[in-house]
Amino acid sequence: MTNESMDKNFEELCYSCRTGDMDNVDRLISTGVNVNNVDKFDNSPLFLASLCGHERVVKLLLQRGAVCDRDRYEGARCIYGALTDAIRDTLLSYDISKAVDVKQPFATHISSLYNDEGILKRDVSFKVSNGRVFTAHRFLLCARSNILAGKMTNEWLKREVISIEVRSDIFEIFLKFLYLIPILHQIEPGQYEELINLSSKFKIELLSEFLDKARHISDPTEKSRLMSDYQYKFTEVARKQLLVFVNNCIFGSAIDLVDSAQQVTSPMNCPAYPDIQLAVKNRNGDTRLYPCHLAILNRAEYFRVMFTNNFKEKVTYVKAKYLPGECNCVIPQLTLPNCEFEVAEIILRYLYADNTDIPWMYAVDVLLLADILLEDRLKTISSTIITQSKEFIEQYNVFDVLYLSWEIGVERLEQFAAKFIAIHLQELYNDPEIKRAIVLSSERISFRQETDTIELVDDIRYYLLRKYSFEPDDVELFENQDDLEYLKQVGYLEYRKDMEMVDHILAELELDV
Amino acid sequence: MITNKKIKIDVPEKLGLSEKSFEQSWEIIKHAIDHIYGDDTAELSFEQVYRTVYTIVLNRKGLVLYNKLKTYIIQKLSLLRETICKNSARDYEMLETMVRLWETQCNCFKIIGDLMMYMDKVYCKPNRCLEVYDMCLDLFRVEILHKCSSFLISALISDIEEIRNLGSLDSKHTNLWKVIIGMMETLHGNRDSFFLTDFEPVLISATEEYYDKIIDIKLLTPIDSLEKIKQLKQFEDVLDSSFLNADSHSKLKTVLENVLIWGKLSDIIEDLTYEAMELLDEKLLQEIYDLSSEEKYRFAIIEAIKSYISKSAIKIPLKDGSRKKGQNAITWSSEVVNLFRKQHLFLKSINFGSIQLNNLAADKSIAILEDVFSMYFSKEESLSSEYFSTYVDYCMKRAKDNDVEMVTIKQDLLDSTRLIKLLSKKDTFEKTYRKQLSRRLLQQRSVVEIEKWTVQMIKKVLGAFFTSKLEIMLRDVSLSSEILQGFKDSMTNSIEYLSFVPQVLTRISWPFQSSNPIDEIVSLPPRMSQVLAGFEGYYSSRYKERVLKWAHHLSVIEIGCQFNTGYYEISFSVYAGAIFLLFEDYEELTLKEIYELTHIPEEYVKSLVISMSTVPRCKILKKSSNSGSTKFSVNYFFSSSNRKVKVPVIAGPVLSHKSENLANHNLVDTYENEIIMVLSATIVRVMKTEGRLSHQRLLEIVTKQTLPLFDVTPSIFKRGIQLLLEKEYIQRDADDTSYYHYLS
Repeated sequence: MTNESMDKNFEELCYSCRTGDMDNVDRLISTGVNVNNVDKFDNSPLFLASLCGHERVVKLLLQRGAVCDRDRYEGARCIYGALTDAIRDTLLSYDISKAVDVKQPFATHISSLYNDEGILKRDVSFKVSNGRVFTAHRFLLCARSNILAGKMTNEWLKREVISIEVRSDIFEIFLKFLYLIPILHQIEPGQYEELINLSSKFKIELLSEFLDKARHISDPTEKSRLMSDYQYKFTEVARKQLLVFVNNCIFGSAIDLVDSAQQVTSPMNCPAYPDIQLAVKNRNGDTRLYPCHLAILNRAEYFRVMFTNNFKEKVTYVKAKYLPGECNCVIPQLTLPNCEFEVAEIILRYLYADNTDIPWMYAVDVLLLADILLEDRLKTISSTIITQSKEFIEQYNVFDVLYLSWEIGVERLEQFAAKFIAIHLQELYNDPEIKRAIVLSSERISFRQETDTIELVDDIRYYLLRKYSFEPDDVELFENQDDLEYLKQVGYLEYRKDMEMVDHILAELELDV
Repeated sequence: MITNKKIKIDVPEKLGLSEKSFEQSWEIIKHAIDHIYGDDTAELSFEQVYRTVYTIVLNRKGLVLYNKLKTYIIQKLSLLRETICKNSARDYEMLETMVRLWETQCNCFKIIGDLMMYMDKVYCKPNRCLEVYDMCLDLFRVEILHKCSSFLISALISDIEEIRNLGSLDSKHTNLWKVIIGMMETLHGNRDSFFLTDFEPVLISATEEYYDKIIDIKLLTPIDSLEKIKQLKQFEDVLDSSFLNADSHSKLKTVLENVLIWGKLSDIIEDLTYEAMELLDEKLLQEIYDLSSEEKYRFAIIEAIKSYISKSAIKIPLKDGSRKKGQNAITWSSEVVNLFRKQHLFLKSINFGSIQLNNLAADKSIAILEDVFSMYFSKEESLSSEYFSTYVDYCMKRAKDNDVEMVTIKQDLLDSTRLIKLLSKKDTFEKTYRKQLSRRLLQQRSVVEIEKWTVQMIKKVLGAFFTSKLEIMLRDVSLSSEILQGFKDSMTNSIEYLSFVPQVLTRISWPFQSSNPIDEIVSLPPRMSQVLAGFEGYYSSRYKERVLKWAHHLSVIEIGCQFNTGYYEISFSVYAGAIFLLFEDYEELTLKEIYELTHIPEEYVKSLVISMSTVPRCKILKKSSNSGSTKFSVNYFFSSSNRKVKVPVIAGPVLSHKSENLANHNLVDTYENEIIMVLSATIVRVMKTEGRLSHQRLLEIVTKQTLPLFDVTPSIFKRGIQLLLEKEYIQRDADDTSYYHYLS
């Protein structure tokens, strides 16, 4: 992403923090905006959200790594500017030590792999100087370092245990670092030298830079600030690396199946080192196999549950895991529901690198797939994209959007559709679809076990008020007003016209609301 | 038209999900459930089943699927139920089967729930019905638990009782129970869990019954029963904590206390407590006390303790009658004090916990003892008060300055004051005490410092009302010695051979009222009267407006005299002394002559002379009868083992007798007057705040307020009212004469 679009995203983030738009804040943070940046008035998103009293947004920002460091002017300003006591308490309770993990869902997941004792396959081991053995995921190491990736394809290709002349404690820190575990504060003075050597040997971005700086700082406050700044940068770098890995290694080694009976080529030669294959069939009937990793797919609840019980998928996976390397040419295959390859790739980019660039034309498909994978966060992000894209609604039928929102239960889309209908009521008035939509909405009443309202109609009426910037009190006032010229000027006549249309439709449908 | 251009969104088509009929889809799901139940899921594709569920729900067939699933699970469960209920195996095996079934079913439900995850989210939540897993649990409750409940409960109860009979824990059993109870707690109908509604009540009543039967207290000694009950209680406690939650555990504890301690132990609790008290065994008593934290129980024990102590108190002989009254008083009081001390020491070591007694003393042992002793004293009424005063008197007389015994005497006094607080007739105590104190002070029989200290102690327990006069008395004594010093200093020519110690007393504070009429007429030997006149002069120069009157009948004179056998110091009443001194100038005197010389009434002279001439210990005069007239002279052959000799006053002549009676009457009179003063003050205070009150109500309030001071008798109350009516503090209501008004 260019700097320019980053700036634009940051501005939008600041705006959403003012308005308290949770979903959009979440989406924007996931684009990689630095949540600790400041706008031209020196306001941070956290400051704006706490000033405007959006407690949930404040919490989200804190969880996503916004720092409220009371030692700094900015942090103090957040606390003193907080609108409510609840927000102030939240800010105070979130001290800097809790906030080091910048990209919580992403970084935490990667870190969790390090200690995972489950069924996940670890396909490479390192034997260090004192004989201790560390196991790791080949694909992650490749993604994190080009040097490591290079060695994997050459000298380490066929070897399952790799001997490496490094001190055990140094290698442990190094490996943990690659898994994004925040260990910076644990590095002892005596470890700097070797750690710098090791990280330059494998060309680990930023690590030696950090170590060089950190070894000369003694002030603990300054040191911890440096650590949190760098930990944030490391995560950013890891996201970029994994994005590159997805784009190059996974998408690059995806296989198009011409004939469904065709034998899969040996995964040993695949630079992605997959332990699972994801099959996707597009609308033309073409099938593509993506080499993937259960470690990452696990991020989605769907896959996680799939592998908790002893179903066929797990049994196959476990069986394949224990086959010796040479014969390991069969890997389990999962299928995604049919979709365009681009959609599948968006999903993979999201799972691997927390990337949420979703072009509007794929937003609906991503939304549906996210629904099936029970990935709520992706769902809100893609529906936010739908509501924010100008092109989308020009290309799609608003009623389809409405029905879709009902289908998969996204309130944001429902509101969006109602608002759109309200604004374009005079054009849509003659569309028979609007009547159908209202009837369908009224049928949902029993479904919701409520009695005397039709939600869609209520929403439309609400947005009609908003359309003319009226308050309910204003309408009462206008009703007793007979200065036509004035009423025309304020837009009340237009409003009345719209309202009459709604009433007319209801009368025609013989619905009494 | 705005809507015509658009791309269509068709969900199932877009996702390429095959359009199967519901029946076909259901077959897939049914097949999956069968495999799950067969614990054979390895061939089952999660993907396939999940997507089938997804498609069904998306096609709005959620309700159908939900119900179908429900029916199918019921079918499965009822098949399984047969295996349990039919099984007529032993209790333990039945429980084992149940646990196995529960655990496998939970696992199945969990897997089915995972498969139905999409339905949970998209169908169940918005439609407010139970998620699949919870729905299955509910079916388990209805189909298995409820339908087998009687089997299950009786099996569980009898298994528990079996372990109780064995008397040793078996973790195999308790773990099993724990799982079953966990199941019962998990499963609940509309409000409460099965455990709460169905099992717990049964368990409680079964436990009650079991323990009611298990022990027959009549066959055991009290101590053995206690041991046995303790043992049972402890075992049950450990047993319960091994498989029950804290809540039920405490419920069972209560039941156990009811059955074992109330049902069984309450009959022997008194005997047990007595035994512990008898043996002074703190540990045993504490143990008994700690058996139950029930308030009712603890009160019972405290009552038993009280009754034990009061029984021991009653055993102390309390002899009435004027003979050897002093000795009786001393023995009785010291035994009471000892009992109090002993029991206090014993009870102090008992931890009574937090229990609310009527008596609010911080120390529970003191509270108990106070209750007991005040009850005891109230039975004895004024006698105990008199005796205690006498006891204090005895202690006081024993006390000497710098005595090693002082510490013990002080302790005795301290303990006595504790008991004095509990006397029911405090006024009697005060009256007697005042009399005895005055005697001690005037005769200088005690150490003033200790007197002061004791009065302070009494003030602490009884309040200033009772001690104000005592304090004045003590003040008088101290002041007198000061005045004497001043007097001595003012004297230019000192009278060395005469030691004169005047006591200036405030009349109203001392327990004697009128002066003896003899004092006005008696004529003392000139040396004495000289000194008295000198002192009178000094005193009136110092306190001009005060009237000084001599009370010779209260004074003591001490005369040193050389007899043939040796030198003796003889103490007399002033009158007797005056008579004795006459023999300095006269060899022999008749009664008549003595009367003329001293102006002491003849009758009184006679009794004084008789006491000097007939009492064996102090026969310092001898009598000689010549021709009808009796003459007295000094008995120079007097001898005694002690250097100090005291001439007692034999019960006096008619005149003095009369006057003493008079004084006594006066004493009672003044006492009543004082009560009336206090009473009227109280009435005025009450009426001032209330304004208007009925006679009855006023009496009640006033009685209550003056209760710690004295008993209000109706006659005294009436006198008080009369006084206030006269003085126009209050007024009778014009319409209803039983009402009074306060007049401001």
